[in-house]
Amino acid sequence: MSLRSLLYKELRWLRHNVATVVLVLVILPSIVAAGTVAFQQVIPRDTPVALVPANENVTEDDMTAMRGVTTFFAEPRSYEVGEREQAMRALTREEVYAVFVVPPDLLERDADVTVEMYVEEEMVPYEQPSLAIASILRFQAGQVLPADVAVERTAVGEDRTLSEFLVSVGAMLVTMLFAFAYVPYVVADERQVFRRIRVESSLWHLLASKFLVLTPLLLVPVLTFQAIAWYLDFSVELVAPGAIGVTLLTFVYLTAISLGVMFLTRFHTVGRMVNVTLMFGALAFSNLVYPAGFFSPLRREIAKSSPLHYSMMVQRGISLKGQSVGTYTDYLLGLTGFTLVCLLFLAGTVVHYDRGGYRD
Amino acid sequence: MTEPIRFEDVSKSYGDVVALESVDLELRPGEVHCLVGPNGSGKTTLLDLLLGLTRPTSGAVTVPDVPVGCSFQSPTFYPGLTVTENLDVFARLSGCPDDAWRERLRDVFGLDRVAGQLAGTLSGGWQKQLDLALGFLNRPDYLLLDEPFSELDDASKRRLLTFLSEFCTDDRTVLVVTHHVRRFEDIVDRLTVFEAGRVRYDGAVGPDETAHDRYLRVLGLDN
Repeated sequence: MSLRSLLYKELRWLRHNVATVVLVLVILPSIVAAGTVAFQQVIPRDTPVALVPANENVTEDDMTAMRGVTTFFAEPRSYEVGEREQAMRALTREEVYAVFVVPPDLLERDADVTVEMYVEEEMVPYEQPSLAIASILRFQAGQVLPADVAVERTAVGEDRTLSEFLVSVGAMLVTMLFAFAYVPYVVADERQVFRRIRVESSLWHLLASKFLVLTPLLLVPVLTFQAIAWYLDFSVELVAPGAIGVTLLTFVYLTAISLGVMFLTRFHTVGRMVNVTLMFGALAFSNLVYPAGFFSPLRREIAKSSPLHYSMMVQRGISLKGQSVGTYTDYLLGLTGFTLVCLLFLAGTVVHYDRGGYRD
Repeated sequence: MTEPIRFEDVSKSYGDVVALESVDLELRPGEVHCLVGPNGSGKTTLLDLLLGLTRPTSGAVTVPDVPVGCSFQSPTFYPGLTVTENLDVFARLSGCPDDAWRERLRDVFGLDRVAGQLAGTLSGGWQKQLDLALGFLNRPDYLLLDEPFSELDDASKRRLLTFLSEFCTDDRTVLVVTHHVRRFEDIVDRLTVFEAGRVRYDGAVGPDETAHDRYLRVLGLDN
């Protein structure tokens, strides 16, 4: 009898938590299942690469031939003669992951030509794929081009280990965890005090105090990462002002999103699940570790539209590659704009919570 | 002299549910005003409107710009802070006049015994005592108490009544939302009876009939 009663209770509970249950048991699995379409290959076939004519003797036919060959393993973007510096800058900014300098006479029978290929040392997960790509290029060019094509691969920048690379990624992961899991938990835990706060202060002040305390608090894990990196003699500068700046900016916009979700769902469990879903979604599709273009062109496009992807590129650029903030000015402006949009979203949800027929 | 709080033709709906309907009410300075009514009669909604926690669907609520204190039906403090820390935080927020007043409240509500405990770990009675103390912190001109006796033992109830009668001076107004109007017979000046979101009775309490009896009579429960 007691089992029947408790089963009845469970059914009633399901009815009252239908939103959470549908999210966890229907929507989340659907997203995961549908998300697999973004994972099509285990070798990079869609990473953006730059094709730069070596000199003015390179013809449009040479460029077309090179585009054709590189299409097997990348998404080529053509540059003009004299734009080599721009192409290398694009490499630094992770707009492209390899630069190919296209020589003339690719279509001349028996001509000996060399394609220069540049990749970055710091882009550690691309090191082995780029070696494979050089081989594929050599093979494909030998198959389809009349000239004898050699590929000269040059890694620019400073040699970095995978561990060093992952330290900068790890700092971003902790930022995500802090923003999507810890902060919503802390604020939800204090929900019972909201009524008194609204009488004696305001939710705006409460949120401002949270941001003012928790944002600098994020420096603690960043410093911890840095301390361990120093201890292990890694060349990673997570404490460079620009790297800290973009990490904190990232935390602010992620937190604005997660808190907005919590206010919008009135701190219901479904809000926490939405945040967890967002966190895993951002993790899976923002290409924090692998270059955009790994796995599928769809995933590349999703990553290219994810602010987190740009946060990671800027943080990595400054902390791992030693680039200046100026290299990423446009990215940072975009991220700042996105942060403002997220804060506006949060403000809208607070107004909705504050005035929209709220009742405990 | 403090201005009264006025509700003028105030209605409040939550979707299809009408919580308050055409309420006209005045809370006059210097009075202890008891608001009574069955569950769901609109008492807490009225309190929320008064505190600005929600807006009326129609009508106007006028609240003078003076210190207002409140104790809610459910505890509203930081569960992760100690009792002392909660008192400190809300004293700063509400503009508690002096440390001596805070000490007095700790004494009245017996909070010294649990001063170092995390508020979230306190028993229901102690949580209520803390919430009540927070309501008094800024020596409010208007004090709103929602079910102040819930969870309290008899000794604590007596202490609260004694303190309330001391606290109520000519300028101070106390609004008590309760089911237990009999407990407040000695100090209540005015009674408002709510039923189904409407004011069924609003008037001074006289010597001819106790507030409790009037409440029962208004709702037809006196037989």
